[in-house]
Amino acid sequence: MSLLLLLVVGVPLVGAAGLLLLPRTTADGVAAGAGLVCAGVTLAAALLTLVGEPWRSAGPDLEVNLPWVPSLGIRLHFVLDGISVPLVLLTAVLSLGAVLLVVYRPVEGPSTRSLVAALLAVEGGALATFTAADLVLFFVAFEVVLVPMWAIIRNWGDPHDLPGRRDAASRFVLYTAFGSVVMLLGIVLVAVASGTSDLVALTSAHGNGLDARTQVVAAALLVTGLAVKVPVWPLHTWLPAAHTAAPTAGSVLLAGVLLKMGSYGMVRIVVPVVPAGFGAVAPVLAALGVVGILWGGLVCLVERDLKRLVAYSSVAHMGFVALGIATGTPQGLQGALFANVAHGIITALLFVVAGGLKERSGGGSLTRIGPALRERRPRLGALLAVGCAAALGLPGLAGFWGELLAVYGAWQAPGSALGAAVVDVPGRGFWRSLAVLAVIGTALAAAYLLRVLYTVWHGDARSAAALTAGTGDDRSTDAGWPELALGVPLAVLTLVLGLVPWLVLRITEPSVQRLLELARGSV
Amino acid sequence: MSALVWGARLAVVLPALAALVGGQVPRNARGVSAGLGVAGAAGALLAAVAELAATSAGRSATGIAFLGPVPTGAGRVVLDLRADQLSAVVAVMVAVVALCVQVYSVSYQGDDPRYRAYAWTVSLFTAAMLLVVQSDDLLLLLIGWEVMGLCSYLLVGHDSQREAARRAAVKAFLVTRVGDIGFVLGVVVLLAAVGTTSISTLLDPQTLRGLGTGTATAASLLLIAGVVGKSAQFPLHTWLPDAMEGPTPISALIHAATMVAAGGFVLARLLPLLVEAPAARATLAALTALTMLGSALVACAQSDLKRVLAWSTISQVAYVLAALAIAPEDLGAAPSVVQLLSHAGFKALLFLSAGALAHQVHTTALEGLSGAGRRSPWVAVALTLGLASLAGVPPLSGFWSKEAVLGAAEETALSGGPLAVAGWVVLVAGLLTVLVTAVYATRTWLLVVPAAAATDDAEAELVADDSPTRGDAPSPHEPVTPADRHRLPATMAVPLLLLVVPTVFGGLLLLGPVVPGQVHLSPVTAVLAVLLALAGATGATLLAQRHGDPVAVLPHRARAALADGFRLDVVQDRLVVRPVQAVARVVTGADRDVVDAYVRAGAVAARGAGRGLRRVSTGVATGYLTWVVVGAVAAAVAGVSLR
Repeated sequence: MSLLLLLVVGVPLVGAAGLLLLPRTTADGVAAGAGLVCAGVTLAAALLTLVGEPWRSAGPDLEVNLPWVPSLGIRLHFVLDGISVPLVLLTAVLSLGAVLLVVYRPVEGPSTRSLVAALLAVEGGALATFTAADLVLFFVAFEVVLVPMWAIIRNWGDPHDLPGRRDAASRFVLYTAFGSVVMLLGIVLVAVASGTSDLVALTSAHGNGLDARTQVVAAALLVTGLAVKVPVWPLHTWLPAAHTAAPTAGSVLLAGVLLKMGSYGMVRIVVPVVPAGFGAVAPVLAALGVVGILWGGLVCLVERDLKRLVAYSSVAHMGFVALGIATGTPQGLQGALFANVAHGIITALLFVVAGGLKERSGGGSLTRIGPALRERRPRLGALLAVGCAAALGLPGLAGFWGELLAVYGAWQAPGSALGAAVVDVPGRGFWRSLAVLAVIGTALAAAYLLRVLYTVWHGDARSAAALTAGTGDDRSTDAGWPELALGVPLAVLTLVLGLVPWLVLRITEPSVQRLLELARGSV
Repeated sequence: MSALVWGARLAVVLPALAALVGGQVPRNARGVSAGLGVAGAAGALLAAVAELAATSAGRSATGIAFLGPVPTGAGRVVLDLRADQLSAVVAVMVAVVALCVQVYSVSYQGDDPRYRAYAWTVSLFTAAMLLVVQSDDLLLLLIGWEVMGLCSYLLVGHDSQREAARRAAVKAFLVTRVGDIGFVLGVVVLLAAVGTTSISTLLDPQTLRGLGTGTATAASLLLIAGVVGKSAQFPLHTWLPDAMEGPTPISALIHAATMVAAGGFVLARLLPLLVEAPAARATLAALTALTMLGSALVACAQSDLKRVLAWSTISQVAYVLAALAIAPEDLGAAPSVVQLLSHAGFKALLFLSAGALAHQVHTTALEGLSGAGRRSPWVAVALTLGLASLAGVPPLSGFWSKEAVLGAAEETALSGGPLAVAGWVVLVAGLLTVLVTAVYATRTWLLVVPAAAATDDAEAELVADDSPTRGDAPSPHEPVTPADRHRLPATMAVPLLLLVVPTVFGGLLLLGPVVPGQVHLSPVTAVLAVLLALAGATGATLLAQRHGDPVAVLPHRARAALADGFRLDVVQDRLVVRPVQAVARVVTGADRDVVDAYVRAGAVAARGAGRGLRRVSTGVATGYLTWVVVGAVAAAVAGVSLR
């Protein structure tokens, strides 16, 4: 029983509930203070969990296990292991940043109290998802995030486009709810067929007791449901709309945290619980991931709106994550878990900049933002340049390692590890073609991100001043400290993780190895 | 041992620190920025010299701990450095040129409002290049390799007010990145086959034997793709001439002496792998032979001094790579490394003297520079030495290094081995290129140094004495004050002087123990090359006397095609850029009208179904009763018929 883990999951949820119980007229200062304290305490608790190096031990050191629905054998069971740790830290960091951002750069909308509560609810739901060790609990945590995020987009979204943000919010909630329903079918199938919903038990059973057909059907349902959240092509069209409409803090959590819940679920649930079934659907997932890499990259080449562009680039980057997981190799999973964190950091950074620019320019299109940020707003410009360099997968920055390991995994995917017992799986040629296409995708990424820098970072400051006259464009509206307080640490993190990737990979490696050993044992 | 280990580490870390700190100093503290830049390069030079001293004593080290292991879950990746003769000698060269460029830039970029960014980016570049040189791991090398590309992008686009500079920056990065698709895949292939990216493990003879020709060939060809991009070889050379939009000292450092030569370095490092892949070497020989001759021809028709030098860089780096393609086993990478080092010296000298001339007339167009040599006689001497070395005039460094390459090609050609044909191809192309190089070097010299500026021809004749206090007439482009005219700032003069030394005495490298391996000089090719160079120079001079510009003898269309680099830019645009853009538009349309259409259709269908059901839900009890009866009948019929 770990009090620390209870704090990590509990504080943001209790904080959110507490804030909502306060009267609507609560002063913004009180709400803001409470939000900052909750997010801060959560981050501190998450950091403290590192002391015990939970990724080293084979058994669950950091565990919360309480009865919940005894009649169905469902328990409040949370475990923190190497696969969870990086995502828990990422969530805690980004949530604190998001709260900071809405407190010190308020957005138009209903009370600050409700916005902070929504952000905390998202954080708590995400943290519960990343530590849940029970399928039903995972599903509930997964759903907790949905409504507050819908509210954030709908109520605090783009003030210039009311119908747009309503549409985006409904689309987000309906699309992901559809995904959840499909996932729930899979969960029920697994739980009924194997008689338990406890992930620890299911993982050590690694599919024993589930016949081949059940495994394939369950894997297909679970992967489809989770793929909506990732999002995997062609289930991605909710993402650009949601990102464009969401306020900056919402975009940060959406890109940095929510998308990871899908890919995390695949690693945590699908691979170990129904390994043979996953092996059977993996080629499809891999192919769709690669289609996403190329598709997202191509769309970005012509997209005019910066936030939509970053959203489509997320489709491309999460394609690498899907590819890495689908390979079922240790390096592929390592790559996917690293890319999860890297993409969270880089995209959050890009959304801080893109959101900030949109607020200042009164519109998010590249032409509206105007050229020569390098001179006009050097701080936002520098953050944008770092974000773009990292997003194009520049070796030495965080974006590189995950993509490389995913490609390495695809190159070596034997195609027989997990699924061969169940269905005919494609051979080396298939996986190697995917690896080549994925690397071509990195060149596309360079093309579209340099296009962004060419249009808004480079350029003639004098002509830019003429173009944007009257909108108060000058250095005085450069990034202030709240944006820097979030942006600079993210930029530093991209550099640090790019140079010493073992900071994350060392944490995830033992858990990944253990998970795959169990999964392979089933074949 | 520690000089070796710490030399390798500090050579990378010191300029990296200079870059990191340099990015944080106040924007207008020019002195601090300059000091940091110079200190970073000087520190790197000291470290590299210490390393060279240690390796010259016969020591070397691999597996020097640097950034630690990368737990991939499968293959072993440890980001280590190494220090040996090859890395030490190239590191010294890189640090010398970087130091020269940092010092030179203090005055050359004297009125640059973004000097801080300029200085730290050059420092970062230096660190990245030295990382490539010192790496004992392919992925660590790749970090340096791509960071160099980023710095090249930043510095070409330094003056981003100009559209041309912006475009050139993007092109430089993208074209090399396309080549790097191959490089990354090559590393992945090796990682998958060998189980590690450690260069010392990979080059172990036992590992290489176990690799198999197929894998070795695939990996080599993929790595060569990256090298072709970075070293600006056909067909990925199109970015380099445009990259001349960057400041001239940058052209000297990145686009002549170091980054474009890095491809040569990497293949020299991996030569044992290349030896296992004859097909890859033959491909490399063909590409470089084509490149060296083609780009030399193009250089003849350029109207801008920097573009002449850029095309000449492409041609000269082709020698570096060609030497690796055909190097006989007993010579190893030595001929290639000699050419790499000597080219770095004389090409940096050429760019920096071109910059010194251009600094006064504010143009690099050959027409504008006409007679500039007369106004700055010392710079003219430096330029002359550089061009002579480029043309292979004995006893300058360029002569010896080219002979080293041609000698190696001759040896392979005559050996009758599997690469004999490749050896002949390189030998013939190399000799022809000597002729063409002499032509464009002479042409450039004639247009810049002795020619008097068109408008002040007569005056220049009158004042053409050697007095250092009196000078020629002011240039028509720019009023030149007497102080400007004859006194080059010391920060610009000293680097020029420093680079003259290797250009003139570089041949001594062949004698010393500095270069790993040996070189053979062949009397036959030497005599042949000198005669060809002489013929080229004479021909160009004669043509110049008759036509003014030697290239004027060509028909107009041929001249225009040459000036545009055989119009390969257009080909690239039609074959790659436009199709990709077209596909991107189609995909964007499909994303909206096909993929998302299903989603919208889902919404419409749900709404339609809702309307339909609402019509059914009338609230009238008899209506519902009807449905119950219909349902019961249907169930009964189904039950009976299915029984």
